[in-house]
Amino acid sequence: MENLVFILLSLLAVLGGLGTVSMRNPVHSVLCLLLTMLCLAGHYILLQAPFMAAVQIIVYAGAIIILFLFVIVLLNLRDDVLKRRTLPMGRLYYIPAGLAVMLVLTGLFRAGSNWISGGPAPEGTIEALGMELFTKWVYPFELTGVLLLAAMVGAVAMTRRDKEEG
Amino acid sequence: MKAAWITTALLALHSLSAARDWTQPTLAERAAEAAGRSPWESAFWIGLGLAGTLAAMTLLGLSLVYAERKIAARFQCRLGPTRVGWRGTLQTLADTFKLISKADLVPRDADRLLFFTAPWLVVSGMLLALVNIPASPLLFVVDLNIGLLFISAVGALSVLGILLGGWASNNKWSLLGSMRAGAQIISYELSLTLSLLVIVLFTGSLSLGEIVQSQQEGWWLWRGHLPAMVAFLVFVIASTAELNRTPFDLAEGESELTAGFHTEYSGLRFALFYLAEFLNMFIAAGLAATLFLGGWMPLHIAGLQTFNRVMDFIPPLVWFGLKTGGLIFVFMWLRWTFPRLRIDQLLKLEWRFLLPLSMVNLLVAALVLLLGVYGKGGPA
Amino acid sequence: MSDASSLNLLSLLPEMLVALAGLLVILANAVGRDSADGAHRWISLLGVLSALWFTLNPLATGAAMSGTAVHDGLAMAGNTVILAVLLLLLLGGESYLKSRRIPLAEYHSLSLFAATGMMSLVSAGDLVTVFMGIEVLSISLYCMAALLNEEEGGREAALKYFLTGSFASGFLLFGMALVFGFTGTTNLDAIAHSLTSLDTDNWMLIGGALLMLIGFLFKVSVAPFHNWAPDVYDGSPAIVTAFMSTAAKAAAFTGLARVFVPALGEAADAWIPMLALCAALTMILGNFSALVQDSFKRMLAYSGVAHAGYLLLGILAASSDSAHMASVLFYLLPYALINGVLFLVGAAISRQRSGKNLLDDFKGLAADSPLLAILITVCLLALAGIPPTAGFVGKFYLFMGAVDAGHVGLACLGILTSVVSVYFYLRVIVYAWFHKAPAGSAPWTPLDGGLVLVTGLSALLLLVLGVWPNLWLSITATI
Repeated sequence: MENLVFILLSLLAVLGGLGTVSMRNPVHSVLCLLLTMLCLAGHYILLQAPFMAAVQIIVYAGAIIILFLFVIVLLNLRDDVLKRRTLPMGRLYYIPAGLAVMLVLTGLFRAGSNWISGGPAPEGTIEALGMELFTKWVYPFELTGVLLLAAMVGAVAMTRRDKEEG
Repeated sequence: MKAAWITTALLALHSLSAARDWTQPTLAERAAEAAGRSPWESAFWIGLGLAGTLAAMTLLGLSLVYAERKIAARFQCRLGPTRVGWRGTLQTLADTFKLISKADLVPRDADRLLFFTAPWLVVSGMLLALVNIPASPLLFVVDLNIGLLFISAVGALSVLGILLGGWASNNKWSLLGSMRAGAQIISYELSLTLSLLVIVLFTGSLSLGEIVQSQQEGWWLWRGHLPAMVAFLVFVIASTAELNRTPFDLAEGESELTAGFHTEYSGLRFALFYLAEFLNMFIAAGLAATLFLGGWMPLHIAGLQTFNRVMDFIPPLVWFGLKTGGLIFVFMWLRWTFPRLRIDQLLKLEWRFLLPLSMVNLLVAALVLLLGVYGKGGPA
Repeated sequence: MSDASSLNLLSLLPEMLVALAGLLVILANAVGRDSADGAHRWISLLGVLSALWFTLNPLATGAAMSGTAVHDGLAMAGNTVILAVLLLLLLGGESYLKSRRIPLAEYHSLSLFAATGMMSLVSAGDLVTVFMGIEVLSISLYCMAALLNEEEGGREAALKYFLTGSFASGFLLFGMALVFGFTGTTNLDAIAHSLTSLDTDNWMLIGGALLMLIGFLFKVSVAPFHNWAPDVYDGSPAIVTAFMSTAAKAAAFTGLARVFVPALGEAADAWIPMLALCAALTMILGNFSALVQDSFKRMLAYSGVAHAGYLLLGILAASSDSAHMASVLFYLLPYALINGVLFLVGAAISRQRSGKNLLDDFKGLAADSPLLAILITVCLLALAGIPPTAGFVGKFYLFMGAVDAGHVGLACLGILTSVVSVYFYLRVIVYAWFHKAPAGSAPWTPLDGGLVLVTGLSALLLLVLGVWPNLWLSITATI
């Protein structure tokens, strides 16, 4: 049963990923991305990390995908814009990306037995996560605070100036 | 005569729910039972639970629509539905049949796939949220250990449904309505979640079952001092906004946007949006009752032994119904009393008032918890 | 020194002071509104100076925050370079900020937050901190690149920077995940320790190391991942370019050294060929592209790419003997100071002439301002690696290290391309001294005193370090 669910989720996730890059309509792309994210949340549940699963859905489905949708819907791209292909230079970046995927795949297939030595998630994940986050990882955690603040200052700086000019 | 009927009904309900001993054993038993099942078996039970919830959802939806119409009529010195069934009780059922039998219109330039999916997304998000809420010690489908988080997670599905529905309709009003709804919901989600966190802080758990258990010695609304009361108020205001109900119904302000995101919807799909709107109100009220008003716990007043015994005698399901019903009445009351806000007022209320308030409130709650000045029964 | 499990908060004092100054700038802006313009600068100065003081005279060193941060000699040297650049920009950049109407509070707070990220990257003891540090500095820099709205290029540069930067972060994270999967830990010491007992000829480890390397090479703009750098450096405000081409590069190089030399040192066979190849490509491409530039900013950008290649030689040397780390750190300081000064002075000079950062704008500089011409000449000579400047000493150590590590071919290539680079640095000097200002150019107005002061101090420091390199080498060699 568990294997079946895993395979199903993985297939859907990969399909979603493929859909994200191949769909012509950006809204459909975003929805495919959402599918991938939801499947990842399913994987977290399979890994006994329900908290991570819920956070995954809240953050991606609830915030990021919705903001994507907002922007795309606001841009209101017309068909003629969508049909225009990207710059030829843009395709060059497929090469490192493809290489990366190949590396990962070959790595996973050839890695042998010790490919996940991190061990399973600790019991009572929320409490354990909280303890870890606020003791061992408190420094990177605080850095995320600086990160978010910087992003916020930047966003305000960019939008406020436009208003003054307009 | 009437009193006798009521007593009998209460007794019957009480024996049905069999919840004299509603504490730990039931939950533990259910957990043990669930652990012993094979995956296919548990899949079957989950399916059964979902089907049951679906049925309950329909009934609830019908009665809520009826209640809204009656209450609105009262506020406006009218009678409301009176013809179909006893005092018009079957009116909504009749309307539903009418809606289902109507022609199913799809705009020519609509994105058909998304147009069809959107209402189901909204309904499934709501259904998933509903299964968590414990209506009595026995009457709930699952008690997830991340219950509260889960509810806010699946709430995202509803927002997506609304956004997509508006976009797929390919209609400016729909689009504007869905953008407004989306922006409003994700803004108010912040203070909503922060107010929930106050209770999570007090109970140390995200499971709704455990949150109800933790209120055996008193509802959080009283026991949590000022922070809980403030959180309750914030929760009621923010969830009114999340529900897109007046005074926050800019998303479907009919004078500006026809009907907002569901302008182009008709027939069954319109009914689904409509159902979702009312059931979301039920979820919000049920959540508030569970978190702040003790869920299915009876009202106890310290020192009044006899009173408490009598209260114990009322079955938990009734308690839950009463509290939720009362809150639903408050939502309806608000809707028919206040005028609609302007968009800037709406945003100011959230970002300049509710959000800072709930942040400070969370801090105060943490202080209260640290200093241990609230009643017994906190996290060990 | 303290054990790995303790907090050891005092060792983080410099980072905390810089971050605090950033917060105070925002607060001052919120409270003081427009009247707080001067306050931003003073708060930043105070924060940077105190952080610099506690960096050079640390109250505590060693592992901190459960091993997620480590304050050793590497961190000290890296922090010094970052803070020195910040100080330079604070002292010399005021007139630039005013003249281009860059929002002061946003600029100052973002630069302080970026510095916080850089400092935490430099002193990272864990892959998680490495990533967070890189993200904090990158996000702040993306925003800073977009601060200038007058020129259309500003937004374009910011977007390009953001896209390539996020791409690089993806590679980095992917590589970290693989390395974590193989070793079961993200702690750098623990990774180094576990690699001694594991078979390093494993595809997962090699893949992880290479992906991480690609991510880092993007960030330090090494060929073939350098394409974004000239456009971004050209389009961003000069003061931001001065910051990102120096402090950010120094931080990323220190981070690269921290992750690859000690932690993944055991797996060096996997990443050394790629690093060597990239170094060679970078030195060639960077120097030859710089030859044909007409824009001073782009010329400096390509010269920055070329210098990243020289610095890679130092990393290569350090992978065989970690004592050579000192040569990388040594070169970072003169490199950062020269570029910081040149971007600022170039912008100020160009503003009086064409305003387009052209090389032609330097024509006739010596006649207008001999002092400035002398100072710029010293800086450019140092960049070309001509004795008796610190640039020569730095390059000498880098190339010697490469020879020691057996990369003789690369060292020769480095020397040859340095000779090429002399041409385009000299071109500016020749323009400044032997050409006349174009007819009809506006009369010369003296530059802002602060800018001239930092230029003078930097040039002086370059000469002093060129003659007595031990002043700085003694700090960098304490690793």
